[in-house]
Amino acid sequence: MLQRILGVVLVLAGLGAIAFGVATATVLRESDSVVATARPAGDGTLVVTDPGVLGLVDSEVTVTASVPEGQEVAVVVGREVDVAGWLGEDPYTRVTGLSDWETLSTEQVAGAADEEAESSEDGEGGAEAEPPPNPAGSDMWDTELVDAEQVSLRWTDRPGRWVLLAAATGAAPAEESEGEDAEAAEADEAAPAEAPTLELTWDRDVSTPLLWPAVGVGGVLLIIGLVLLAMSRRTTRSRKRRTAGATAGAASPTISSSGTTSPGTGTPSGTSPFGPAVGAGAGAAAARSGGTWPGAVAASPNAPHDDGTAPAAEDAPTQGTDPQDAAGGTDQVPVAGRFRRRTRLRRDADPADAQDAPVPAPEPSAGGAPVPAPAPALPTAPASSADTAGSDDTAARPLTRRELRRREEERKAAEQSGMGGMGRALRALTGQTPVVPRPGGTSSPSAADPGAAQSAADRRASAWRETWGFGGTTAAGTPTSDDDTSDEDKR
Amino acid sequence: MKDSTRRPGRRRATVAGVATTVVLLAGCAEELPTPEPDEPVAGPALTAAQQTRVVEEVAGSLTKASENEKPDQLRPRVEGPALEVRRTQIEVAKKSGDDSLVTRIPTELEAMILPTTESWPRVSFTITQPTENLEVPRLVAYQQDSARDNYKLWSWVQLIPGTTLPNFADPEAIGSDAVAPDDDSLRATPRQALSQYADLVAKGPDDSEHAGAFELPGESTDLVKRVQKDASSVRGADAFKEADGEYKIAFASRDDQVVAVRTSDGGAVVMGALDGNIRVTVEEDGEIGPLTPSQKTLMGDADNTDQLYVEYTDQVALYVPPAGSEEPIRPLGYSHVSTAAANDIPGERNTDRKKDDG
Repeated sequence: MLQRILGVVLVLAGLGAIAFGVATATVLRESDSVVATARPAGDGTLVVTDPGVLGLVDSEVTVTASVPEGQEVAVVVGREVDVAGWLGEDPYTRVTGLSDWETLSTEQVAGAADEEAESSEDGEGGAEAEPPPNPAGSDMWDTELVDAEQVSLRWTDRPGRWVLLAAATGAAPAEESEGEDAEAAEADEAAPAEAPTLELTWDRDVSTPLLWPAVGVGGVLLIIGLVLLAMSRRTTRSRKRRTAGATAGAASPTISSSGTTSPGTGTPSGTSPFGPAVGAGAGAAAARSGGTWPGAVAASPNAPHDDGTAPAAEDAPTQGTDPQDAAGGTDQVPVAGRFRRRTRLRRDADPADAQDAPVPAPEPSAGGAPVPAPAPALPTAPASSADTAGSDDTAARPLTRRELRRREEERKAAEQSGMGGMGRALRALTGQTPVVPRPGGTSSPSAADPGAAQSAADRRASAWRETWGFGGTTAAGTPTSDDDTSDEDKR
Repeated sequence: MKDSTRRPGRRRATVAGVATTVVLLAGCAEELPTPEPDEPVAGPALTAAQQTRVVEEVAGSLTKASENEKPDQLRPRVEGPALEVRRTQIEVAKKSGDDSLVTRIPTELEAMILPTTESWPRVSFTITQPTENLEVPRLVAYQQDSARDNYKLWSWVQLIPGTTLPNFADPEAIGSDAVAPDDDSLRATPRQALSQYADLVAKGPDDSEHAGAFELPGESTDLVKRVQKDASSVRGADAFKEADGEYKIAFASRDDQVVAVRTSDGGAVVMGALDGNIRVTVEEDGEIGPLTPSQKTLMGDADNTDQLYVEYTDQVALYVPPAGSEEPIRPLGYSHVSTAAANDIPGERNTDRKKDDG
């Protein structure tokens, strides 16, 4: 039991790790671009990035600075010294880096000329409101862009300390002021300029460092878990074979009774005397199965280990007792069998197959839903479990899934054969197209045509012809030209 | 048996649990990058492309002011001695209808001398190609007074034909350091050099005590020769002698208008402005008129008297060798432009604040 639990846990953990690894490369994968925004608050109309911020994520950055409608914004890139010199004593907002992947951290720098700036922002206070400082037009900048409301600038980082300065320069001038002279551009009486909102967009080379490690670790866990499960199952099988062999040969009740009692007691002592019999039983089972499962013999030395565990002891009797149940065995068995049926339906179905392999009819008796049954805890391992289950039970040929499915369909069909409506519904569900010609086809006026037994397309074509008044001969001449006539019609 | 099975199982479970936890934790967050600014790159404060743009902007400003005959339009891009001179040139051209005396400053460059200065003011220099009509190349200084100012044409000189300019550091990669006006790593500080040169211009090589420090070009004309030649041509005229004429020259450097840049050999090229004037007097009933068309234009309708007073704003460029060098100071170029003319000699003259006239 422990081994199986451990196996299941490991398989689950492995699958989880694999899923996580894959998720890091897909769902959890970070976006390919980083878009970080700075919304400055406070005095000043200037936003400055620290050196290094432009190349924070990638050497290529797209900077978008935006100001409210009707205002103008200037964005320049220059050397740190130049920008610092240009800023002088004006208050500004410093962009110091990323506070998270979507937000730029900012820091307010109070200018020495703070009061002046404030009074000038008040506007009417001074004799003439000083226009907000405009960096545009300076000889020092490497790159410079000015536009109304929004400016987008693409910058490729290069050696040196390059910083970006964005400035709201007040109302957009109605007409081009002469030259690029900063002083000449005068702000109108519009709302005082506020520092622009800065948005930096980098393309990011998203690495998925966890994908392969996680998949690898998960794979290892999965394999370990599967091996554990397989081992526990093998034990189960050998136990079952032994039991089956005993049953087939008018098994002594001691085996079945001890087998059924052992889960109840759950004590290792109950199984330990049982051990030698297992070896013999396994050997017998292997011999009986025509040598298709020699591994069981080879693995039989392992079996005693596994036998000690509870699950093996539990499994063995149930699977063994199930055929007994079908065959109307002892009184004790049905209880355990029912219990088994609920938990390990697969096990139940397979023995049934094994016993009545060529006839599908007994299957219903083996359980209403054997198909979805394979161990619910093992989503990835149905193939293996089905294979092993099939192989060890039929002992001759593993039942493929397709066969199982077919059988299931047949079974359903057999179940429903009495009810025609249901059968049709089933056909509709399965998407089958009835091959039987419709009675309407023969009763239609075109029934006289030689093409009465034509395919559905021809019948459609003839119906169309009839609707549009074409003669039957034409219809007979062009039995398959459904599309052609429609084209002609368009012409 | 059971124990041996369970123990590895537990171990395995533990290992699996730990591994899963580690994987999950490691996947939680990618670290936020922090800005890692590069080391400051030493180099010129102005790129060649920017310098070219400055040159073009300035040229545009010069052209516009000349075409519109509005000297005020120079202001955004011209300052210092260049502004005074240019203003006068434009006004003279406007009055005389002849702009041939307005110095052309080609935008095609022979070389740039870009500054490494991180503070302000910053000064860059260019050496232009010869002009269209094959006038000598100009050495032009552009100065940026403060970070919020643009580079403005500060001074220009016409290079003396045959002069070899000193070498400068690679302008694109390194840039040239500025030299303070009182830098004493030179044979003479830039200020001293200009002052001595002004003395030489005013007194002539024969009378100036500083003549020994300078090597004047033999064939070509520099400011000294030009001023002295003008003087001697007037003084030598018979009529002038008969009229008992007197021709006095005064020149003085402006201490506050000096720029200098380091050369490869540790010397410096110094550019500055000199104030100069000439005072010509003849006998009382004599008459002396303006000596050049420019002076005539500057005097306007004023009648000729027995006095003539002409002021000059001269821009000069000198090469000053490093301290300890045996090399003399060499004039590289000059611009000699009369900025005012009057028919009487004022009590206050443009050279007064500096020193007494010679």
